[in-house]
Amino acid sequence: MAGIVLKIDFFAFNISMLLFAFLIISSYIVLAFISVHSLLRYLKSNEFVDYSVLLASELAPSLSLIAPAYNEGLTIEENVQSLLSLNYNKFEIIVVNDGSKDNSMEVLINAFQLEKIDRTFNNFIETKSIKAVYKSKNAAYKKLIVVDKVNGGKADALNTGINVSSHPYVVCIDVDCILDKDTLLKLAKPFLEHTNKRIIATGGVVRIANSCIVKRGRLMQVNAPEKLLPRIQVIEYLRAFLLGRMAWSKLDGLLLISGAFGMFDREIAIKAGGYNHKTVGEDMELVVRMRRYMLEHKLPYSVAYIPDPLCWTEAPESLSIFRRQRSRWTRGTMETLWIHRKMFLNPKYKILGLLSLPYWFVFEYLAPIIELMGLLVTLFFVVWGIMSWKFFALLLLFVYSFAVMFSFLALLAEEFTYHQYPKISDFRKFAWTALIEPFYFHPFTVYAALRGNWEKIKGSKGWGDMTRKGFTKNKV
Amino acid sequence: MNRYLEQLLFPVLFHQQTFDTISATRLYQKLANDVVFLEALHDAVVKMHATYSGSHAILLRTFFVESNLAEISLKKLRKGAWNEKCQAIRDLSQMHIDSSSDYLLEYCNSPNDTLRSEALIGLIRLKGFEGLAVLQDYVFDVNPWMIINIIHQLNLHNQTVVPTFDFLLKSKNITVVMLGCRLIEHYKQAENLLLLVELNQTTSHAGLKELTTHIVEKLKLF
Repeated sequence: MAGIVLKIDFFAFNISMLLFAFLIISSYIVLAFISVHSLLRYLKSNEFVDYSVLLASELAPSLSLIAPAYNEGLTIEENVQSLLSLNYNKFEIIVVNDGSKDNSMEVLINAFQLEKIDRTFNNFIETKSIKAVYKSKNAAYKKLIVVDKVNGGKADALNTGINVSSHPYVVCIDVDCILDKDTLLKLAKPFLEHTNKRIIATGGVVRIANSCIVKRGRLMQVNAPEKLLPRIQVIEYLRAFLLGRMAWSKLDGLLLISGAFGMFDREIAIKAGGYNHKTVGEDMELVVRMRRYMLEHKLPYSVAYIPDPLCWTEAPESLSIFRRQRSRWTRGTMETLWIHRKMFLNPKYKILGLLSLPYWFVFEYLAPIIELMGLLVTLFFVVWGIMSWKFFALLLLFVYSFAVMFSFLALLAEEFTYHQYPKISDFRKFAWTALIEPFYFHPFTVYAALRGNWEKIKGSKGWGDMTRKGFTKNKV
Repeated sequence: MNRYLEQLLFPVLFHQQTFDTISATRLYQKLANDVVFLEALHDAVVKMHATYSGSHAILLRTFFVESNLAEISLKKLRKGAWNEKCQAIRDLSQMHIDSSSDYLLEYCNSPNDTLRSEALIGLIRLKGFEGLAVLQDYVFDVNPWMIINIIHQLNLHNQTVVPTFDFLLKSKNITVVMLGCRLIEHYKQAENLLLLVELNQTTSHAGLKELTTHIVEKLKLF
């Protein structure tokens, strides 16, 4: 009798694992198909876009670029110089010093000849108190505003920037990311392209800059990262941004605009309540809340996405920092899904409630937990001697082949579109990296996600230390 | 290839040689039937034209027509895929090929939004203010991005006589009316102030009301 029950369980386990694998694989294929199609359409249309017309136009939207900074004293001068040289006319830069403990403020005051000013603004979103607002005495830096405030975290600093901003659009970035010179032109365009719906946010692709050559805050040469961990993350980002988010944007179900770089309609961001400082996934949470606000008020809207490589950032090179980052991402996902649980499978929230959130829940949040369960049940079968090794080997081979092929598809999509890695040696490096990724990187991301769950259960709230190496070593 | 192109085009640009002289050269006769070469020559003339102005640009335009290179773009305009049509529109309107205007008018109503906006902007690039006439019965949206491009093209035309844009304010298409408002604002046509005030009072469209209020206030300052 016990044997029959075990056999039935074995069968049920195999079927459920196969079903999950089938669903996740087919969703990846469908999303990749939509992404590639949209990407090609975008590139074809974009051939005829002359972004320089925005530079000369009085009708270009005015925007505020908000860069929160915490203990960035070593690189802040160069980073702000690089922001000041972006191609756009109607913008201001608001650097929010979030109570840095280093000499960030001193560096900024000296480098940009800052003086305190009386700037009146509304406290639309509640934030920690502002110590002082500075502007430069030098007309060359007239676009720069520096806000010195009490430490309150990234979300609080961004909210302060939104309050201080005097323009209808805000671009929220990480101060240490490297932006393409035309970033603002490209981010602004989607806000001008619709008459029957409001574009509430635009996001773009974030690329990895480890081992790239950077000069005065500008990317001079793109290289494949020398270290394995960031190199794998390049492939992971290509998969996510080129084969995933492009499709979600096409389906109008994009949930996440990376915290490193996104542009928002300030009025809607304020009405939705600004960044939530109670979650570590404030970037995703804001997009979901803004979308929710528009849907609940029955206002036609959309979130746009630009596949061009506009923002380059440094990926973690050490496993411990990488683990902390991924655990935080998991906690952020859990918190956002929990805060907006009302939207889950709720037809009132259209594709967001019926597809995007359930997808994130099952394939982003639950996937590592299901993988752990699968692993435990597999071990159980091995111990009990009822393992079908033939089935196991076939399934493993199939999943591995699919994972590698999907990575190659992402690499090919990059090669045939933006071709940011011109050296054949770089492509070779990525190719063999894709082959080993499922054995090295994937199990670790599953572990990091599970740690995120555990940390959430324990009540951990912080970001954790996210030390960056900086681009200093690669400067020319 | 570049060497051959330079050998053929530099005499046109700097020694005012006509197509007749160029076509008599051994080099041209050798390459005249090579489709790839003709495509490259076509692209080179269009690219050069974008970097030259005045008499040099006129020489290039004349060469473009006399050498039948315009026919390459016209063929794409008639039979190409939508993106080839867009490129042809850009090339032909930059090279002032008036015979393309009928196609541009047709494509102004294309269901493909990129082709449609490229045709509209191409028409304005080709005809200047006269090209705006197509908007009189225009049913598609003219979004702010197109408005910026239209104003940019009109600025490039540098036409001294600016017509009145009141005809655009009478359109049933609210986005065309908004374009009209923006043109009145751009060219500071205070003579249309009363029309704008009237529009402001009669419209129920919040965006248009806001825009006309802004422009009326701005025009009153002049």
